[in-house]
This record gives sequence, C-alpha cells and structure tokens, in this order.
Amino acid sequence: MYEGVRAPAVFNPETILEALDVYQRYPRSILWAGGTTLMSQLREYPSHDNKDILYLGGVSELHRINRNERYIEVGPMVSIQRLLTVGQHILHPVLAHACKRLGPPIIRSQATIGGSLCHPNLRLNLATALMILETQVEIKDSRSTKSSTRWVPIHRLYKRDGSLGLIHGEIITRLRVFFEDANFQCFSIIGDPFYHPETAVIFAVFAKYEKSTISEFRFSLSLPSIDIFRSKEIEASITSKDLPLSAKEIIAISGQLRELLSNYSSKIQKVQIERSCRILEKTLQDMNTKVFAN
Amino acid sequence: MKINCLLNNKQAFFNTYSDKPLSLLLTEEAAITSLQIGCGTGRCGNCILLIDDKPVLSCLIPAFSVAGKRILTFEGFTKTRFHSEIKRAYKKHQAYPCDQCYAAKTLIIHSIISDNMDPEPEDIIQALQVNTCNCLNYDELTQIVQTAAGFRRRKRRVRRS
Amino acid sequence: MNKDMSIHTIHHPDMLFGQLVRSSIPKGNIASISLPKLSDDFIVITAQDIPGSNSIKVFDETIPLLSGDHIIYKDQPILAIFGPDRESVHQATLQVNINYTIDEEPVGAVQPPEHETSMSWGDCESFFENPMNTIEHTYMTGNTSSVPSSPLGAVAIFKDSAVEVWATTQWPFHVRKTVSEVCGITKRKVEVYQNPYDHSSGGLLLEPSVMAALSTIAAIKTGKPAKMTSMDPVFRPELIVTKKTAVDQDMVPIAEKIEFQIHLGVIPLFADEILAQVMEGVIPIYHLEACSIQARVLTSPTVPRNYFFGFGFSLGLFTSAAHASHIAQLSLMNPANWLMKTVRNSTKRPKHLVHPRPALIKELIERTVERSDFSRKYAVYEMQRRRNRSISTFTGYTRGVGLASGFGVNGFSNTYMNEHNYSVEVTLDVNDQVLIKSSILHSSTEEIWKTIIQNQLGINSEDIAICQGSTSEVLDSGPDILNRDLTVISLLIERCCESIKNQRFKEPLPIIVKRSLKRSKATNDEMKKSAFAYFTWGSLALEIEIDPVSLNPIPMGVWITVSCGHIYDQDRLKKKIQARVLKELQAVMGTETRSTYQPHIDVEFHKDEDAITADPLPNILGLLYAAYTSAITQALNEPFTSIPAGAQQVFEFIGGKK
Ligand SMILES: Cc1cc2nc3c(=O)[nH]c(=O)nc-3n(C[C@H](O)[C@H](O)[C@H](O)COP(=O)(O)OP(=O)(O)OC[C@H]3O[C@@H](n4cnc5c(N)ncnc54)[C@H](O)[C@@H]3O)c2cc1C
Ligand code: FES
Repeated sequence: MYEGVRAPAVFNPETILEALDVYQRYPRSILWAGGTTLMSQLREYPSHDNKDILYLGGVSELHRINRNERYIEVGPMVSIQRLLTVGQHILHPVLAHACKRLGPPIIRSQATIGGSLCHPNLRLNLATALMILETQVEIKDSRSTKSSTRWVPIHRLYKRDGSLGLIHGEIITRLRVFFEDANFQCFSIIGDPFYHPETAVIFAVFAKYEKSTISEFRFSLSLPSIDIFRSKEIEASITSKDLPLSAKEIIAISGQLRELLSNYSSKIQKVQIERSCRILEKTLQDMNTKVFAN
Repeated sequence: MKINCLLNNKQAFFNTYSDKPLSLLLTEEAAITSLQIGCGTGRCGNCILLIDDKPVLSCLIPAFSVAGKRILTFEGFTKTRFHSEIKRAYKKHQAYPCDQCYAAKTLIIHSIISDNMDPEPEDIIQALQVNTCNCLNYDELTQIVQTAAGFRRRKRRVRRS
Repeated sequence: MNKDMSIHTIHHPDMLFGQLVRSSIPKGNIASISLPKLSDDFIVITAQDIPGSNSIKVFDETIPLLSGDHIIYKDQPILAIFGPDRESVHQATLQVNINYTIDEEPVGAVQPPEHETSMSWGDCESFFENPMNTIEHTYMTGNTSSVPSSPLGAVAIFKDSAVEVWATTQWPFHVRKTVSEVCGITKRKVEVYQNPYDHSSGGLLLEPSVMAALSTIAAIKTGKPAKMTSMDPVFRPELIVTKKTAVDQDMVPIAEKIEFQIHLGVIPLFADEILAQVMEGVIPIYHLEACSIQARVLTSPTVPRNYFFGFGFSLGLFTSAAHASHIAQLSLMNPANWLMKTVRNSTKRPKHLVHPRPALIKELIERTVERSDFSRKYAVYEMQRRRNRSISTFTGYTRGVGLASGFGVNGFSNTYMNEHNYSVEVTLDVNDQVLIKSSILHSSTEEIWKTIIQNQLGINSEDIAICQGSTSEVLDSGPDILNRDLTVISLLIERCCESIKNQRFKEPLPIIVKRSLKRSKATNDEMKKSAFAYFTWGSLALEIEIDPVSLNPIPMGVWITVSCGHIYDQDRLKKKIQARVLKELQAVMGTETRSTYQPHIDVEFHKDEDAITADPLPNILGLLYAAYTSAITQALNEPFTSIPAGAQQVFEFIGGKK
C-alpha cells in the first residue's frame, strides 16, 4: 500500500508551547483546525504538496472561552457551534448571526473560529462581523527563540491587498471581543461566499443613535475573494445624520459606495458592486424602520 | 499512519494515508458499503456518519482525526434500536428518501431527535439542509422527524414506566 | 457483490486502481512522453498496449479510446496508470511529462457538413416580404456542466479466460461490446453488471465504457481486479435558436423562420437524433401558414457533450414556448387566452410532426390557470410592468408570472427505433411466479412493473422477480435514456402480460414472452403519424419574485398539469416530478443556490387513459424553462431569452437599462 508515497506526518501537540516548538522545527507543516476548509479543497485527493500536519485539536488552551464584564475571550479552536451555544446570551447579535449563517449545523460543529479567520484566500462571515466590533487577536510567533506574543486589532490580521497577514510560523492563540452596546446591528450574506465567492457579498453593520441622531455607524463589506472593504468616509457621512434618513440621503450614500467600490479593485465584479449598494440601501431603510418601531 | 478506532462497535485497525478522507478510507479499506460518496467536498451531504454519536460529513474528516474514536456508519446504525423508529416514520408518511441519500437523511434525523425529542421545524430544516438531495421536501421531512421523535418519546416513556 | 453496491464501495484486497492522464491541449501531436520510474506493481496502458481496437463506437460514430500520437480534443485520454492504491497512482500521474507539438489550426466550433437538416411548409418567404410585424429573438442554452452526484466508474475481474465487469453505465450492452472490441475477446466472455447511477447527471455512456475497457486490459495483464472511477464534470450541449415570426395586426403568428445550431464537442454523437428531437421541440404549437427551419450541428476540439435527460428536446421546447410567451406579451393579451386562440388544427403542418390537440391544450391551460390564479396575477404584474418600474430596494420585490404549454416526446424518434431492436422478456413459470428480464436497472421501476403484472395477471408482488443479472442473463433493452423505465419498457411489459394472459390456461407453463420496441406496434393512430411514438401534453405556470437586493429570481410557485396516459403510481410520479423540478430550478437559477427555500410545486394529472403511458418530464422541463424566462421577462419588462438565468443575468439586464 501507498508505494512510493510519503504520507504527511501528523503532529499532535497538547500545549501551545509544544505546538510552537513543533512549528519551529517543522516550519513547512500546515496548521490544522477543524479541517473543513482544508478537506473541502482536497478534491484531488491526495493533494500535491504533501505537507506535514500540525493538528491543534489536542491543545486544550486553544479551546477555552473566558469572559469578564469587559470582554469575552475565545480560543481559536472553539467551534462556531460552541461559541453560539455558550455565548447565546452575551454575544453581539451581529456576531451571533454571523455564526448562525456559517453553513449548516454539521459544518458549524466542526469549523473553528481560527480556521474561519485564517482561510488562505477568503474573507468569510466571522472576519466581516468581528471587523466592526472591537476585537483583538493574540498571535504567537514560533520563529523567534523565545516565542513572541503580540496582540493586534483584527484588521491587522489582513494585509492592505486583503490577503492573510499572518507570517508562516505564526499561530492565532486567542481572540478578545469587547462588549459594547448598539442600537442597531445587522449581518447579511448575499450569494454563497464559500463556493462562489466571486459574486457573493457579506455585510455587517453596528450603529448607535441617540434620540434620533446617528452617533456612530460602522460597517464592513466582504467581497470574499478580494478583501473586506471599510470606508471611514462613508461612516463619517452617515454619522450625525438624523433618522429617519430620507430616500435622497440613502441614494446619495449608496452612490458614494458605488463610486468607491468602482475604483477599489480590478477583481471586483460589477454584480458585487450592485449587490453591495443594494444591501447598504436596504440596511439603512431597516434602520429607519427600527427607529419608527421604537 | 496507524489508526485504531471502534467501527460499528468493533475494533478496527488501519495503516493508511494520514489525511485520507474518512469516506474513502471506510469504503476502500473497511468494506463499508452504505456510504455514498458524492461531491467529496462537503456540498452534497450524502456521506454522513456518526463519530462519537455526532453526525459528520465523512469526506471532510481526515483519517488521522478518528484515532480512538467511535464511528457508526449506517450499517451499524441499522443494528441499533433507533433505526426502527425512523423507518416507521417513513412508512407512516409514505415518504422515503431515495437510494442516494437514505443513509445520510436517516442519520441526520436520528441526530436531530437525539439532541431534542421535540424539535422545531426551523431546527429540523437547518439540520437537514446539509443534505442537498431534493427527493423529499421540507414539509415531508419535518413531518417525518416529528413523527419519529414522537415514537422515541413514547418508547422512552414506556421504558421509564 | 450485491446489485445495489455503488461503484466506489466495490473493493477487493489486491485490487488495482487506475487513473487517466489527459491531454492539456486541444489539438496537436505528442512529441514525447516521459514516465516516472514505477515498480512492477504498476502498469501503464497507452494506445500501443491495446490488444484489440483502440476505439469506441456508438452507433455510427467512432472515437479513439486513447489518443495515440494525435490529440483531437482537450482532456482527451492519453494513457492510464494502474497501481496498488489511488494515492500512489495519483502521485505517478503527476510525474508523467508530456511534450506536445501544438496545431496552429483554429480550435473554434466548425460544422461537419453531414449533420445538417432543414424542413419547411408553406411559402415562408412570401409572408416576410411585407409583414405587418416581425418579432425576432435569439434563444440560448449556455454551456453548463455538472459534476456527477456520485462517482462514475468500472471494475473488471479476469477469471478463467473470461471477464466480469461492473460499471455505472446506462447501457451494459455497450460496455460489453466496447470491452470485447478493445480487448479482442468475444462478447460471450464478457459479462457486464450495472451499478446504480444517478440519471440526472449524464455521462453514463462513453465514460463508463472507457473505464471498463481500460480496467479490463489492466485486469487481463496483471490477473488482478482493476478499478477506475471519475468525478470529472460532464457537459451539456449548447443550443442557439433564432426565431423570426411574421404576425398579423392582432399579433397572431402567420409564418416563422427558425435557425438553430447545437454544439456537441468533438464528435457529433447521436447528432441526427438530436437534430430530430430539437427540431420537434423548436416548432411552435400555434398555427402557422408557413414555416422554415434550418438546423446544424457544430463540433469543436472539446470533450464530447452528454445528453442529459434526453437529446435536446426540452431545450428546443423551451425556445418555442418562450417565444410564444413573448409574442403573447406583445399582443397585450393574457398569454393563456392568446395560446388558446392561436393553437388550432391545421392541415398545413406536415404529417410526421406532432399535431396540436386544441381541445386538450385548452383544458390543460384552464386547469393550470385556475389553480395558479394566473389571470389575476398576470394582470397585476402587467400593470407593474407597463409602469416600467425599476427593481429598487425602495419599492420592494418585483414579480412576474409565466405560462407555457406544449407537448413532450419520449425516448427515441421512430427513425432510430426502426434501426434498433431492444427487448424485454416476461416469464410465467410453473409455480405461477413471474420473472422480468430487461437491461434497464432502476430501483424505482420495480414497483411500477410489479403493479402492472399484478393488475394484468393477478400475481402477488412477492411472486414477481426482476432479473438484475449480468448481460448474459438479461436482454438488451437499449440505453436507459429519458427514464424510459416508466414509459416504454412499462408498455412492453404490459404487452408481454397481454400475450401471457391470452396463452395462460391454454398453453403449458412456463410461458415466455419477449417483446421488442418497434414503431409499428404503436397503437394510437394519431401517434403513428408522428416521428415519436410516446408523448405527453402539458401546461405549466410559474410565478417569480426578483429579490431587489440579491437580484436572484426566486420561484414562488409552480403549477403543472400534464396528460401522460395511464399512470401506475400517481404519488410516486408526482414526487419524482417535484424533486426533478426543484433540482432543475436550482440549475436554471445559476450556481449560487444552496437555500432552504422550496417553492410550492403543484402537480395535477389530466386523465387520458387511452394515450400510451409516457414520461412527462421532458415536456415539463421544457415548459419550466420557458415559464421561468417568461416570468422574468414580465418582471424586468425586457425579453429574457437564455438559460441559465440567475442574479448575474438579471444584473446584466438592469445594468444595460441603466
Ligand atoms: C459546506 C460548507 C459551507 C460553508 N459555508 C460557509 C458560509 O456560509 N460562511 C462562511 O463564513 N464560511 C462557510 N464555510 C467555511 C467555513 O467557515 C470554514 O471552512 C471554516 O470556518 C474553517 O474552519 P476550520 O476550523 O475547519 O479550518 P481549517 O480548515 O482547519 O483551516 C483553515 C485555514 O486556517 C488556518 N488556521 C486554522 N487555525 C489557525 C490558527 N489558530 N492560527 C493560524 N492559522 C490557522 C489553517 O492553516 C487553514 O489554512 C463553509 C464550509 C463548508 C464546508
Ligand atoms: S461526499 Fe461528503 S458532502 Fe458530498
């Protein structure tokens, strides 16, 4: 059996230190979390590159969930389903919704937070939702002799061109999401970001208003195979506006987004721009409705 | 790579390729015939089996991760007392999954009612969404699951009393 | 091995796995091949290693099994490597290096002159000289591929100078013939068993025969069982139809010019049958004084196209029913009324075509209109259309409703049927038990066939067996296409039963009756005139909503009324139709659909006990595509003329409008 084929070795560390040590000694190995991304790309089994596997499933520290009044801290090996169950009453609705929309329950039970954030090519649900929440990511680097640890805001996990900013040898070891109240949060997916990322759009909004004036508006827009788009300019132009926004105002904001996206990347599809503008319009209308309802 | 696990309640040993999908491992090296291998990428949902009582898509499970685990395929499941409840529910509604997805749908239904013996239609649909075969519609499936759950509740009451 | 075993579950301890190495260029020659160093456990098969003929024949067409030095299409199989496990074989195929000299010739689609046809009636040109109005549209069915929902493949076992083959084929007798010719062994020494397969995926004729032949060579050369499987995508033919219709002042069609071409990849497999079927589909059911049709087949150095669920009839029907809807919309009449007005008996239409049955069509349309509330919905959405409202997030959804009506053909045309003779045999044995022999294998047929026998001979279903053995045990019932199991084969079984009934209690048991497919056996006089012996009539309405954010067309409901002769099991057929319609809607809506949303699909059968039982699906699918595009046309107020049609296409429309 398996003549002439070298099967990937599997390393199964039990602590973060051990994991870093193995990673340092076998830097070509791939980090393996739930394996849903890695296995669904194995259509041509066995894969060509035959890299060794550094399985993080046995590292108990990476499975932890802690909370205090200010934040919730989650290990990257926590499955999406477990985060949903444990965090049922405390998660930001936008985050809870991002988890619920991450594939069917069977996938959610296997897929992990770390795996979702570190998809090599796609910016998926969790990254989109966490981007508008105050989220810090702990990264440990296996390459330095004394493993270094740094905390970075989540947007620094990705480079300017949208690619994953982790350097080979780095592992995400923790996530910290700060609690914060909002009057309006929403999360939407259009299309299929995992299998058809080229036409899909993921959109998340976190907004605060006092009386009927918008005091803060944050949004993130994932064009999954390109990048997560954010615009301080649009956020600023919405902030301090009075609710309800008029149709004219909404159309102007959507026009602003259309213009920015049109010059954003050559890879962006026109249908994605159209969908992005439409989801923004719809969300602003929903916000109007919510204010009226209150 | 050498792997020991419990397959359908029997000890099994494999000397296999470490990230071989479990679906291929079981069909090629353990003579499991109930597994339907479709897309091989997590899309069709036909390759379901239970690992430590939880449903998984076996094409997304690498061989190395099942060491020491309890695997139950549809063959194994048919030998449990749970199968008859679901079979009776199919019969009651005169609605049966097709050959391609029978095993997968039956195992998902079992896992739904194992988690919750009074499942809501929304939960049923969510759970069954993983299997994309259209041979039964969601109304039929919801009825089947609720009927099967009823049979299980009754059985449990009888056993308790 | 058990008959229900899927190919991927067949396993033997010392079995060899095989994998193909395919061409990466469309046309040219192989300059050199360098193979990796492989141990004796591997075996490489190239064109030179084929003991018999290096070709596969399907009726009149021949295609090389392995390329030899000359490449004629992209992805053409060049060689196969067999080895002890799929992992090492895969590794070995990656190490094969092939150098090509590439042909400079253009690789676009060309027209092989022999596959061209035309038909006409009346003097079409005269109606186009001074027409009141002409309406012209081009309809397209895109190049769609699909990945089989389960692997296709074959396993070969060589024992005592004979070979046993298992294959996911829809035609075991084709596998037997191919294996025998390629391996140079007599047919008698080749036994082929069928493994279950998914009808709707296609790719079930050439691919399994290729894999069976290569696995057999490996098995003969090594003495070990050999297996090959594949999940390569299979492609549908692409159809382009241009329709130009001259209409009078009331938008009633008078004459029509139709041109179509169908692209079949490297070989025009089944070309004449496909031309005949598409031709039948593109001809409208409304009355025409004159009509001319030009049709041709295109080939190109690409993989052979697969006939999915028929030979293009449904695609042709889509274009004629969608065109009818477009004209109806321009007439400002409700399409239901327009159709009922324009369909009438005519002596102009050539006899060999299917002739519309106005009374039946009227009934089918009326039932569909009533159940779907079509007229009210159509009126409301027409008002919305005429206001030319754009699809905006402020105004909410935009809706449309489409209606299509027409006939569907089953199986092969009579030209084909007269050339080929396929059979079924029924035996009533001495214990009053029945055995059916046919090469069509489909678990859903079992109950239907048993019901026929129960009804006809009064024999309990436990006493009826269906022989699901190898090619040496069953009869050649032809390729299993268009779910003929429900239709043609059922009819033959019925005929066998009739004959047994006549002989029973007069002749000694066992009584063995064999019946073959022959056009001359069609009973219905009207049907005898047509090129197809088995057909159905139907009407279908479909309501759609265009989501203003995602731009996805979302079907809200489908209402189907069909007349398809006597139905053995209405519930089963209804479910089959519902499942297939859902699957087809997902395909036609484009690639993005993995939703829990399921539209209401209402199916009603219209009683027509005298008609020959036929499968209504080819009819329903053509009408479904047409009603779907008509509904989008109404919602967008622009003629929508191609499938698949999803958010991307809707966007291109509204983008164009902007
Ligand atoms: C059927 C299906 C449907 C899906 N639908 C959706 C959807 O709708 N929305 C959506 O957002 N996603 C969807 N997904 C994708 C899913 O979110 C990802 O596959 C999953 O989150 C990845 O998690 P994992 O634990 O399985 O990662 P793995 O596959 O194990 O790893 C993914 C990547 O992350 C890296 N990685 C993992 N952990 C770490 C770490 N701690 N530090 C650094 N790198 C790490 C790995 O090296 C790998 O490159 C779907 C997936 C499937 C199979
Ligand atoms: S084979 Fe596993 S999901 Fe399709």
